[in-house]
Amino acid sequence: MIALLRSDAYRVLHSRWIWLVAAIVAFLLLAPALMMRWTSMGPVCYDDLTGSALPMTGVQILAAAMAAIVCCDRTDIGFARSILSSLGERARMVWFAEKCVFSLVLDAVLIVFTFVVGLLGLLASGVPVTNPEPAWQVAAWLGFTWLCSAPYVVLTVLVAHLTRSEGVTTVFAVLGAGGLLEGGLLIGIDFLYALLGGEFLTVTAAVGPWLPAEIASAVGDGARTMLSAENAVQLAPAVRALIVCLPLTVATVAVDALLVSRRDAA
Amino acid sequence: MNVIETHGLTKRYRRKLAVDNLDMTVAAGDIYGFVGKNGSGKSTTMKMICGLARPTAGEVVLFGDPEHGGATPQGFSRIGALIESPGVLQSLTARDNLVAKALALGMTHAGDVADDLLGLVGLDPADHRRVKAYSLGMKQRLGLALALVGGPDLLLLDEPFNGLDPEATRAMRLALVRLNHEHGVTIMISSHVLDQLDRVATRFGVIAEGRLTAEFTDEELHERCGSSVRVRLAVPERGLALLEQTLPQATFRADPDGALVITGATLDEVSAACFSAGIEVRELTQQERDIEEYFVELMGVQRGQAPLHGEKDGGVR
Repeated sequence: MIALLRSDAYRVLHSRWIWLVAAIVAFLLLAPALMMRWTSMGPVCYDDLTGSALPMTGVQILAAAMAAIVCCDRTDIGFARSILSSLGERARMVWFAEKCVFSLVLDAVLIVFTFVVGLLGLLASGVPVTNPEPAWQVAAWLGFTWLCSAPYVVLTVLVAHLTRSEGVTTVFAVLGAGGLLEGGLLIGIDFLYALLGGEFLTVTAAVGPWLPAEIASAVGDGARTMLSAENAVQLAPAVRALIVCLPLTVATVAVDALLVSRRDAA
Repeated sequence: MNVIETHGLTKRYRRKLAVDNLDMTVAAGDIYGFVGKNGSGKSTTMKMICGLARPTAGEVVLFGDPEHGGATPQGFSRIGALIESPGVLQSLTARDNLVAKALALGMTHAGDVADDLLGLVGLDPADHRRVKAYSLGMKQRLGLALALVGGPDLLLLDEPFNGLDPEATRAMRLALVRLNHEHGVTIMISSHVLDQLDRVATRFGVIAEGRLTAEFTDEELHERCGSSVRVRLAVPERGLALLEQTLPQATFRADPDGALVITGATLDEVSAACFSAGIEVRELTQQERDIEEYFVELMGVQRGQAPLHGEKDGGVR
């Protein structure tokens, strides 16, 4: 596993796209901050650090898209054949698990990078934060942001390995991580429920707070919201993330490593 | 020792039977030429051998070990493969591709390994171009270098001569022979480029519609493709018996039209034998057999037909 991780880290660091992604993220975070400083437009102050001063909007879509790039045909599958033909049966299972683990590591790096650049942007903007959270809450918030994006990342890897199609995987990464797939599915179920005589949106109201996209959105509102149980289900989004996102991530990695690895690789 | 043994190897994709009950052996030190038409099951067989595809039935025994051949003393797999198009990372340099694979196999000094292999296949380690700028021939050579990472004992190459210009073809051929002679690597090559295969292979297997229709050595190939005499007799059965007595050193094969093809005897010897035995001759010609033509004939064997004489299931003699 460590050898495979080192290999993937090497090839990603020697690719251009990763630096392009880093440059785009840095530009999107620093440019508005500098504009605020130079034009004196924008907020006078931020309430807190997480959520309001340092939003992580779009990070999970970007993380899923990066997983798609790492695992898709043009970049990996052909090369993977060369590696898989040199690995034994058990090592092949590890190879599939490693793709998930590597994508999750990449996701974590992206979150930390976004946070650090965002922090630099905040300093550059000169906008004060009136009520910053303690460091442990910021660290926990980063951890749960990662946990909320993890299911989308590993599901993207799974789709890449199942379909071996760059197009399908990329569309899934964007739609899935954007919450559109699960939202659409739920509305569809609601529609059927209404056709059967039930009240429209009953299912959405009951299940909605437990959807990964909803949990991710609640975590994205900031560390205090993330840890607060004052919401419709009386359970903190952090706890819901542990109940939903963690098992979903583990189950997806298991399916990829144990079942998908048994399919023909070519 | 047999490096590859397949027993009843079968692969079915939904309704299509790609490989059908294939039994083949490749001995240590062989350069095994695997010949067949497009869609005959060559690539599928090679994929099953290197574990990229799972057999529907049957088994592959590598290095005498049913557990996929074990590993080298350094812990690497004993197999290197270049299957279908060279699996290269287009956005990296050739050296980076090799370093990435060496790291994946847990090798130390990955950079040195990459430089050595690039030199072996005739690519420049200092070339900083991304692989997407490479010609097909250069990608093929890089694919070969990737297959060699880890120092495999068995190399599976699917169409390695595809897209190579004459100079690159020659370089590839020499590299393969050197690997076989100097490093003892057993090589299995599938190729349509029969004249190149003929120059390197020491044994051949011919596959048609997923079945192995013939297996022979390069000596046997050249013996069969050498000069022969074609004779059509008025009474073939009696004539064959008499000629077998008169020309004991010769080999006889019956063509589908009933004519006999005799190798190991000259036109004059056959003519004299027929005359002295009182055999009525309707046609007597000298013929040279082209290797390509011979392979095409073997590849054309349809499922359900008997193999050609002198091939997999024995011949006239």
